Amino acid sequence: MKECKRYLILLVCLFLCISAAGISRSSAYFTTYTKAIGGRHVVAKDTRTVPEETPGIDGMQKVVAVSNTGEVPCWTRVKIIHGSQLDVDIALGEGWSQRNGCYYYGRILQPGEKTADNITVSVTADKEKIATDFNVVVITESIPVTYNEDGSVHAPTADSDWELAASEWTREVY
Amino acid sequence: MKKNRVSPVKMLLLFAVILCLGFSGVQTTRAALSVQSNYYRAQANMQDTGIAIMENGVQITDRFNEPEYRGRLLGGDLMLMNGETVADFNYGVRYRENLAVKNTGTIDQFVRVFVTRYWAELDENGNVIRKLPELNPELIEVRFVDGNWTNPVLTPSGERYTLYYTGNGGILAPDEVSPIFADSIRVNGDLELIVSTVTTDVVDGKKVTVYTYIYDGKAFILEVEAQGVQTHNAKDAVISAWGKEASEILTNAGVLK
Repeated sequence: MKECKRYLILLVCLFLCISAAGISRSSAYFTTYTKAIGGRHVVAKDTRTVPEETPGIDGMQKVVAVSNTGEVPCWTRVKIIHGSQLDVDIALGEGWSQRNGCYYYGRILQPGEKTADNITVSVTADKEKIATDFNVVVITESIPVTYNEDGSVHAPTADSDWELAASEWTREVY
Repeated sequence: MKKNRVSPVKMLLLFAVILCLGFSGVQTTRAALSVQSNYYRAQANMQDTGIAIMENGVQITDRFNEPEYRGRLLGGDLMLMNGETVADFNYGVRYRENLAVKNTGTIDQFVRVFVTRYWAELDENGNVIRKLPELNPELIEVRFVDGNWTNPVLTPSGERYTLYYTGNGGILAPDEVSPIFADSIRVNGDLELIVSTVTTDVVDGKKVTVYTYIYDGKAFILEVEAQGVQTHNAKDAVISAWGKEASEILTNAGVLK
């Protein structure tokens, strides 16, 4: 009788094992997956330009150029501010144009490059006739070169393009 | 009383007869086996599931051969939308990134893909060292294509899209390449989005204003994972493998009945 019980328990265990194996099989489905990954470094550096002026104002004339001392290509523009008591004549070299009181260089300035042509500032009043010292402030502003969706260079034409321009300015008193 | 003894010779003879009979019996059995029946052949075909990712028409992953099943996206030269190849990456430019899935298995499959985008630091071999969740993944714009896939659903973090294949009844047949689900990638280059701080200093008598670009030197990452599941016993298979939400999406899309 005892032997019979043992066999019965063994039989039940065997049945449970087979049942469990059956459940596992019925819930398994064919699945698969694959994965790909990749990326690119981006370069987004600030621009640096410096005004390169002739020192002093010999012959009441000042010559202004701009150098790109940063690490990325940039666009640049120049502002020249002077007292209202001065009569100033500003001559633009090739590549420069004026708009809204700023002088824009129409070519991309590569790192280490200097504008090919200059801006010449001429004070037409005699210094002797000017009662006090005067100064001329030169401001250069620059923004990184950006691109359109098709890969072409985006030329900054609107003032809004220059809202985040890095700037550098000098003020010389004469 | 005289004992009835069997002589040794007779005993030996009897033993020999028994042996002969025994061997003859074995021989008969062997003969019977050799003519019993013809061979019957049975064949069972093992089914495989496999899936691969296609980038600009090139298969870049292989479910069975690629170590860890990983392929390399955005490798080599980049391609502009007009087909011109360029080596350097620039902000704002849209690059061709035609992404599709191929069924490399032997059975029909339902397919879904995850497209993940984020910023990270990479080592010199291009492996991700550290994710940068503080940088905005929305600057990495993947343009999806309508028609044969469900509308991409984006996670709240803005990192991961999920799409399900719905073309051709949602079934991707063996060796079939799906229609593309994305056609391009672009990183938004608006300066106001990528500039973080501005400082103004006087250096050597010059007033200098400088901006800091927090994305400089960082890498944008694109990950694509494709998953497949059998179409036989469809609803149970989808629920079991991908969950109830996936089943509802595919039902709403008309793929599951």
